[in-house]
Amino acid sequence: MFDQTLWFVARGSGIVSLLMLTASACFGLLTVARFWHESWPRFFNLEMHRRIALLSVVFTALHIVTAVLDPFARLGWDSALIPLVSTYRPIPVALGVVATYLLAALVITGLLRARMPQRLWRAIHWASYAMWPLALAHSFFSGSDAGSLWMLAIGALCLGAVGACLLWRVSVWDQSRSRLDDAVLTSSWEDATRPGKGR
Amino acid sequence: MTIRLLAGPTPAVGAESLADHRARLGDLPGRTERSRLIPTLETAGLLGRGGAGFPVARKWAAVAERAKGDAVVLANGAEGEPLSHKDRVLMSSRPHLVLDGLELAAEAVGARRAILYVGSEHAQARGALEHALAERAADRSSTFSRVPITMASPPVSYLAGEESAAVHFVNSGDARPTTVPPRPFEKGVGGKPTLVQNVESLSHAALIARYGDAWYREAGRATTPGTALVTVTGGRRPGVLEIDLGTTIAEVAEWAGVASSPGSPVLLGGYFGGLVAGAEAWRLPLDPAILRGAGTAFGAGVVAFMGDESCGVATTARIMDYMAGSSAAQCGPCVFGLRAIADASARVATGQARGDDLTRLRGWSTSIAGRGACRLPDGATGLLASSLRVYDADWSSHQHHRRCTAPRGAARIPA
Amino acid sequence: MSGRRALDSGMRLEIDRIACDAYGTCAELLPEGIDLDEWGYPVIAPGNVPVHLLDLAKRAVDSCPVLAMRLVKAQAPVVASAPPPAPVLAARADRTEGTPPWPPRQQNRAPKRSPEARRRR
Repeated sequence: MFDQTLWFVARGSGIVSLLMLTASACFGLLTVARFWHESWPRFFNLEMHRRIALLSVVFTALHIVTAVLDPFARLGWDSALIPLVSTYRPIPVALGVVATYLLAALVITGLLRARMPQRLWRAIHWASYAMWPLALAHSFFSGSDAGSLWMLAIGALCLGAVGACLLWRVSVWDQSRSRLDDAVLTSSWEDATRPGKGR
Repeated sequence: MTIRLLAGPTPAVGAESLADHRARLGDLPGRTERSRLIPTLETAGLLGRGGAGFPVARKWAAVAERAKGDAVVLANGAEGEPLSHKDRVLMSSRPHLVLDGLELAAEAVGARRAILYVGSEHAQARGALEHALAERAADRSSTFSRVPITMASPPVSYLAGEESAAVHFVNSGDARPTTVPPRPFEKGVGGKPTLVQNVESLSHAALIARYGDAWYREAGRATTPGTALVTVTGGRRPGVLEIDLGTTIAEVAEWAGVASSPGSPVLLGGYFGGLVAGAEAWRLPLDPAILRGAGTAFGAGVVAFMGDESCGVATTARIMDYMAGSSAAQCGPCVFGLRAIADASARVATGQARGDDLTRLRGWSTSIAGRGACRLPDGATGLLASSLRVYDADWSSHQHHRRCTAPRGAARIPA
Repeated sequence: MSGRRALDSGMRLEIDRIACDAYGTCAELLPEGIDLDEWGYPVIAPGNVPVHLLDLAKRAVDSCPVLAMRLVKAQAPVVASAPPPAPVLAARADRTEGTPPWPPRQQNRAPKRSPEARRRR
């Protein structure tokens, strides 16, 4: 019985972690996309992004620890920390291992953001575009729930949410910098004195 | 007029050679005197000539106390202000005076590197300085300082001469201002304490090193001692003039053969400056301290007579357009604020004013300053505010009646 | 009812104007001291942050997605590089004209519940 419990917790916490990472990714994209509304204040997106990301660390840690401790899964610490060492579904597990390291980098640099050069922080944060798909792929292929209908539904939901937010984010790509450049490059005097205008 | 910087052959004949320079001015003082240069500059009361008017000695001291023998000195000859020509004239005709000042500054602050910062399109100035460097390299006895001097040439732009922009260009090739703090004297070229000093200021320092602080203080007619170069436009005789500080606007007008009536508007300091008008204004001494007290500024020494005949509103609108187009496009309030000002003033000037244009211009003239990384919005709105005051009746006439009250009506950009 | 004069915290808000990209979270969290202009960029109330608003100010600084805002110790202007070239013309008001000052403490507090009201709960 106890063995089963560990396995259940491992699976459950893995799914919860995936949902949290999805939510965090969505809030991150909405922050950059400057999504806001009367009832959805501007500070909300970044706050939720950070808090949920931190929470997901807890559930990811739980997921890894219970998966390793579970005797049935035959995963040792080396399998959890070194990609492709696992004998149980090596590639999917490896995806998870890499995703975890990326998550660690993101969270650590996120917490230390004010103390590091912003270009470095930004470069490392781009790794999130790799981390989330890896986590998603890991959840699809390594769990014993993979293939079941509800797991597919969860996966589709996550994919849809991130996809929608990504579209929103892309629609405002670089808008701010080009707005500034455009405003500088016009000529008010020429516009006002173009033939056909008054005076 | 006391002529010091421009003493000797007239600038029109070109760059003064090393031999002529030494024959006319003699050698630089020995090491003991040079070691006392900063206190000497302090007593002389030399103020910077780049536009800010900051005490030169204090700036050198600030760099010197932070340097560990690795400071950098940058001679700022970028002269981004379109109405100013004095730095170019100085560099083209007295390059050795500028280089003397640069070497003295490098020694005084403990620098390991010196840079001449001259706009890439300012060919005459660059050529004169390059030739002067070659002369000095060939004649070892002319230089006491072993600091290597290199030239950095940004594309000419309004902001290229801003001190953080100069440092940024040397560090990365991008001549746009950066966020301060840290300021260049703390962390500049290569992260080292950097002295950014205008070429005219360095030239004055080179003369003070030879002749002393008492000599420097002999010139000057009002509060601030010394002489300064001013660029005068709007008269029959435009050009660069060396004046005793404290010379009045009226006296400069006489020298320049200005035809417009006394009291007609004068632009002081350049696009970055302000307009003054009225008989009392023409009696103002061109003295940084007195001008600041009168609510305007000496700035980069531009004295542009606007004349009685052209339209002040149109001139202001075109200057605002220029300023808006000179923005580095880094800070929202500057980019959008100056563009809004340029749009509105162009509409008002051309008789297409919208109902609230003048009101909004008055609002913007105080709400945008101080909210950019550099002082461009401050300068532009300062000029706008002075124009709204000096040409008040004209602005109202344009806004409410779409009528220009100036005899000739077209915009006159001081050339 | 006038508020008591706010205690000065000795800290002030500074903005990196180049990094600032008009996200506007700062003004949302600290409307008492930060306003947005017509283009969405912040206008900060003059002077130091009052003590009773310091925590909110820290949150506002934290909330900026590009870390454009800082809380710094207020100090005398640094020596060497100059104050603005200042065509500060006599008729032109202080640049902060129109920016409301930091509000006094009173206005920021929720009304206190009376002891009876608390007991009733």
